[in-house]
Amino acid sequence: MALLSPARGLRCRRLARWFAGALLGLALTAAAAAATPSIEYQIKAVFLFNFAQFVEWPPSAFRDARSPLVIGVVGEDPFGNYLDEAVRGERIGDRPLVVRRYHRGDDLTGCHILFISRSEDSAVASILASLRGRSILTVGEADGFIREGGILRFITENHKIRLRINVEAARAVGLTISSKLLRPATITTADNDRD
Amino acid sequence: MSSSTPIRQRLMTMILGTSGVVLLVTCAGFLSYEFLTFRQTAIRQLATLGEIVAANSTAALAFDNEDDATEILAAVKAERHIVAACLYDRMGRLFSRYPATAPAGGFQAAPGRDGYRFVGGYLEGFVPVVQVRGSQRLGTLYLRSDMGAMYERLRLYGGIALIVVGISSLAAYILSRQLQQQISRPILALVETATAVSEQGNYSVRARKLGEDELGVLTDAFNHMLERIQAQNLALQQAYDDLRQTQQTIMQQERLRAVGQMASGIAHDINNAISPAFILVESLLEREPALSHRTREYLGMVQRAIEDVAQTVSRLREFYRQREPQLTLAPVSLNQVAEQVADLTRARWGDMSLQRGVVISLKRELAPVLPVIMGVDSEIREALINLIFNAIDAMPEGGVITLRTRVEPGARAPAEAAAAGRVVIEVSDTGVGMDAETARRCLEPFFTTKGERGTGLGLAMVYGTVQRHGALIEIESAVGRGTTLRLLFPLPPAVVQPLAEAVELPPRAAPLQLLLVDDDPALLASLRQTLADDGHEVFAAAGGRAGLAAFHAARTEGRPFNAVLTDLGMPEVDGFRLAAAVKAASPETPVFLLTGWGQGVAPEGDAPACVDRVLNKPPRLRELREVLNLVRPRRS
Repeated sequence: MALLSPARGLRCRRLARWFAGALLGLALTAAAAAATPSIEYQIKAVFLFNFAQFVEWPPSAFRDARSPLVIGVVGEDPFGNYLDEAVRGERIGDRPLVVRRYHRGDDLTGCHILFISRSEDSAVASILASLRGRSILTVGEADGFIREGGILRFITENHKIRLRINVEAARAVGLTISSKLLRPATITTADNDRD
Repeated sequence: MSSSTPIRQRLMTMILGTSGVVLLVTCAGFLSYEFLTFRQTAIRQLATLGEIVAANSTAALAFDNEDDATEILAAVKAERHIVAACLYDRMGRLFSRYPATAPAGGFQAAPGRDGYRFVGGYLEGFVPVVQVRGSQRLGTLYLRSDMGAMYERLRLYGGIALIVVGISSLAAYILSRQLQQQISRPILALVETATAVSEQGNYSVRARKLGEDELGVLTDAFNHMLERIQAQNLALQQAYDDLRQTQQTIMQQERLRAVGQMASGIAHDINNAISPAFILVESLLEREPALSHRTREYLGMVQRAIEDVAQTVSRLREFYRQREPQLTLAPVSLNQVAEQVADLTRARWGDMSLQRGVVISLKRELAPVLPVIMGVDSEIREALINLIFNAIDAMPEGGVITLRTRVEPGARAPAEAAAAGRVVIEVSDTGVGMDAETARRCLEPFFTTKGERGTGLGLAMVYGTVQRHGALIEIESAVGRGTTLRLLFPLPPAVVQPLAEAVELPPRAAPLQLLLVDDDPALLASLRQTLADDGHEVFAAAGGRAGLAAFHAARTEGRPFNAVLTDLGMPEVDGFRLAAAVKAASPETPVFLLTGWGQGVAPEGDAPACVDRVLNKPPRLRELREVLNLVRPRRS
């Protein structure tokens, strides 16, 4: 929903596109109403986008300087089209942002941020294993996500979404996480991560 | 600063004013700069802080961590002047605040426009929170800085500036007090000197020179000017003194000349006037043997008096002729002269004083035996008369005049005492006396204490007489104790012949035919009578013209005159012209010139060639006989 996008609330230069979005919205009103995610996932969608701003990938992770930064969602998508709305038109440097959705078994190596949906809780270990060594910021919600080799996990504490990061794992695959991101997050390792 | 302000104060004011204004302008500029940059600095400082805090707040906003945001905001407490801060999230909602306990109502509900602005005593700023790599705005940071502290610092700067100005002014005052003297001291020294010069008229003072600058040059020029003025003053004074002295000399000479002219005229008149008396008295004494002894004695006194008059008159001229007359010294008895003087002045000290109710007596204390001296008795007599007149004048209340003579022996051995001694005659009075100054000056010509009555010549004449006789004069006097004037005459070296009582007259000349010319009838008559008594045939002509006519008439008749006696001063044809005419017609005829002008007008040596002999008036019988004896009678 273009009108509801918090990321666009203050952007006047988007007015032209607002009309286009509004027309599209009218056409898809029924389908869109069914796809509206919960507040929690709205926030998480923004968080996924924000990660792109606080993490640096090695140049080898991109084909060239202008190739897009891909946010992938594997499994059942909880964001609806909210994630697409959040990243639409946004850039990280020269790179546009692209959202891709995967199913279990798909080749996941083309993405840079991979959200592993709750629907894939049972396959987390195998998914992570298939991505071992790749410069992909893996984000998950499962309890043993860090222990199984994931880098970043959403945790809900006192109705607040908190982050838990395995800095070693990130460093191991060549990702540089901004110290600023580490401030609001909890740093952990695969060995002593708790649920 | 008025035009009458002292230069010292003006210089001080100028120096202090200049330095003070410079300092104030400098400080004002400094403070203005501080004030302007101070705001910019404040904005920059707040902006820097804002950037840092905003950069640190990105993750907290991005990941919605309020605690982290509060923690980051709390760091601004290190900046004392930040009184409030807060973060708004990307939706514009108040997200976290500083101080953490501050009520939410103390902040704007939504962020304002980005940028910094001064509101009241605060500087406020809204800073966008953006992650560098991302393009999305994550939120807004709000900072509020209390400017009071900054303004306080500005005030401190102002205070420091004021103190600096104060201290600098004090330093400038102390320095300028010293430095201004370099200019003011030479000027003040000049002023002091100029004042001294103008107020005291003292041109000998000089200004002190205190340097080689323009003021030094000015001082030099001023001193040079003073020197020239002083020199010119001196020259002027010198010229004035010279002029004054010259003027006094000229006045003195003029006075003498006037006196001399007057005296000469008087002498002429007196000589003419006394000539008949003299001739007649002489004639009586000569030709009248039947005269009683008493008559003969009186006639002798009259004759002496007339001779004294003639001598006095002749000496009057000396004052302006200033020529030492040839003295014919003769033995003089001072005792005799004293007696004569007492007799001659009796009228003054006796009768005239009595008429005024004053008693003056004259006492004679004459030495019984007194050597004669060589001198001119008439001069000495006149000098003594002068002294007695002075004594009378000095005794307005009466008193005693003493005439005293004595021999004063010299200091040598008794055998030579006479030769070294002096004959003294003195005149003492008991009058008012003289003070030292008067005694010192009383011999000067024209010095008188008698006011209009005195000529100032009396004692000067006495002094002249004394000098001509080689004598000394002594004055003893004290105020209120009388005066003694003492004349000390030298004793003559050889034994002097006793004074001849009478000189034998030359014998009568052979009878002659004489032409007598004079414009004074009395003289003409008396002289004619005397010459006729001697047996001469005398034709008397009452003037030069008449004389010349008679002379020519006689020659025409073939009975020319044997000699011509003529007066000198006559109207129309005077003695010289007559003599010249006679000599032109008959060179062998002797011409004798009689003159009342005395030696002064036609002295012996200056007699013109046409005059054979000059005879002074009054003519003496002896002289007449002497010259007439030389005349050879043409027919006998």
